[in-house]
Amino acid sequence: MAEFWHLGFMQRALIAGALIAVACSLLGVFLVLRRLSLIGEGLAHFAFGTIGLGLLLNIYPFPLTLVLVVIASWGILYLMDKTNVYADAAIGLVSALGVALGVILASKGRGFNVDLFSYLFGDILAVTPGEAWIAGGLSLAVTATVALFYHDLLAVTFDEEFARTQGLSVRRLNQFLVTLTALTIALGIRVVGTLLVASLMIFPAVTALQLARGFKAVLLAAAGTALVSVAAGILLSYVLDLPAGASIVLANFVLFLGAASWRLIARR
Amino acid sequence: MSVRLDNLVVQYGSVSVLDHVNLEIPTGAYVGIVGPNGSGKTTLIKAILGLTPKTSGRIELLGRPLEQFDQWQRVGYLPQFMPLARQGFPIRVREVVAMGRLANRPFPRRLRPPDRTAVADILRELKISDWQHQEFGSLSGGQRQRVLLARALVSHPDLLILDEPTAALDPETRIVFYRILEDLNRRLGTTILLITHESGTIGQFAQRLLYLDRKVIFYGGFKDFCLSREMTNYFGDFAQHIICHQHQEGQGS
Repeated sequence: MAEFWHLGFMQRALIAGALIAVACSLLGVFLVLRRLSLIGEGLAHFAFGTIGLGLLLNIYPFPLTLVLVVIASWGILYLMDKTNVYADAAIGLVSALGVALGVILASKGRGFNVDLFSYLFGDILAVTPGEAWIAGGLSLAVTATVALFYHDLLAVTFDEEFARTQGLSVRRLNQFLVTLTALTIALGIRVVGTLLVASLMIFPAVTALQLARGFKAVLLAAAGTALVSVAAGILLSYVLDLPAGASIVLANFVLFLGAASWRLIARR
Repeated sequence: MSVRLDNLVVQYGSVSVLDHVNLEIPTGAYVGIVGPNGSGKTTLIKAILGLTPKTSGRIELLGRPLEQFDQWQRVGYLPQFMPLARQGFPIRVREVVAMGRLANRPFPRRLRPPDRTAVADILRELKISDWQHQEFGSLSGGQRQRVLLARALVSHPDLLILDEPTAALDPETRIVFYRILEDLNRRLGTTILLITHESGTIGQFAQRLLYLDRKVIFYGGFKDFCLSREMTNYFGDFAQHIICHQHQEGQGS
């Protein structure tokens, strides 16, 4: 057990995982409360296609994914704002497009199928020092955004129409929120893969909503849940020789189960 | 002038919801807006607030064209529905009310001691201080409406716009609610624009009546409305009778 904490790749996995999980959890609270939980899922699926494109072009897919996923997030927002497409349908369209793109590219590029499918499940233990730094920067950016725009984001999340009568630029705030979400998703793929990254947004938020009262308390509880789940998940994967990403998601599920049970008991 | 509309047209696709509406609402007026379902009442106030885009015409708010208006702290708004006012939204009453102090704050918006004092004052004034630490979603419909009224009033607006504010209230609370508005209008000179389906009650409180049916059918004092032969012809006695009956009773008491 002791050597667990001294392995360089483990330290990087823990640090990068914790930082990305905190960013995911903070954004997740706003997304869950705005009924946009599945935007993470949709963008992650879209990322699958962009990774396929990167591999087909024989380039490191991460920067391309980062740019294309941000553009896709704006596309979802555009569909929601400017057309009569509902949010869940807009997310579904972009999600399906990404998966279709990924499947077509996989059928064309015979050599890289193994690489492409490795992105489905991620590999937190293979995080490079550079990626850990990017995760740190992103986590800082998300935390600073939430702190600086706390009242704006709260007002828009609670009552978008009223926020507009306060002179808040709801469109810009929404664009800012989905852009950060897209960047976080693109980075989170390295941790748990495209199939599971959205769970890092949803689980800590819904767990925190079971536990805490007041908006600030929910944000803190979500960040705390995310940190605990990453540490527990990586430890679990080390001890039981399980895939790290899936173990983090399972740890999140256990925490949610505990929180939901506690709430049910407390209500009686 | 609090609100001035010149030839306001609002269309949803090819459907005309407001058809060349001209209106002047002077400062300090208390106007009750009535009309059948789909008559454009909510669209009218949303257009005034810039929430619904106009198709053509001109909107002036507190003396400035809407496009240039930026003094949103002078306008209070109480919406018809609260789509997210469900159980479980983790926000306390005090935080909801404090949202009414966000307008015209420099970045990053922070609540300062005067804002906290204003929130405490309005909670006390509306006799809801006891709820300030409670979660908004745990309150009843009527309690929520009072909290949202506090949010609309906390910046001491010159113009207060309310969209069916009493729909979720019991008759007693409804009267208390109207008394609060009447007091604000008389004591502070707040201009009030109130949409209501309670056409039988509004005459007891508001000074002016706006009857809307995609265009302005009537705008003026209740006495003129009740004596208007044109309105009798328009309504065939019915709506005019409902509005005027309670108004005259209110005047008599």
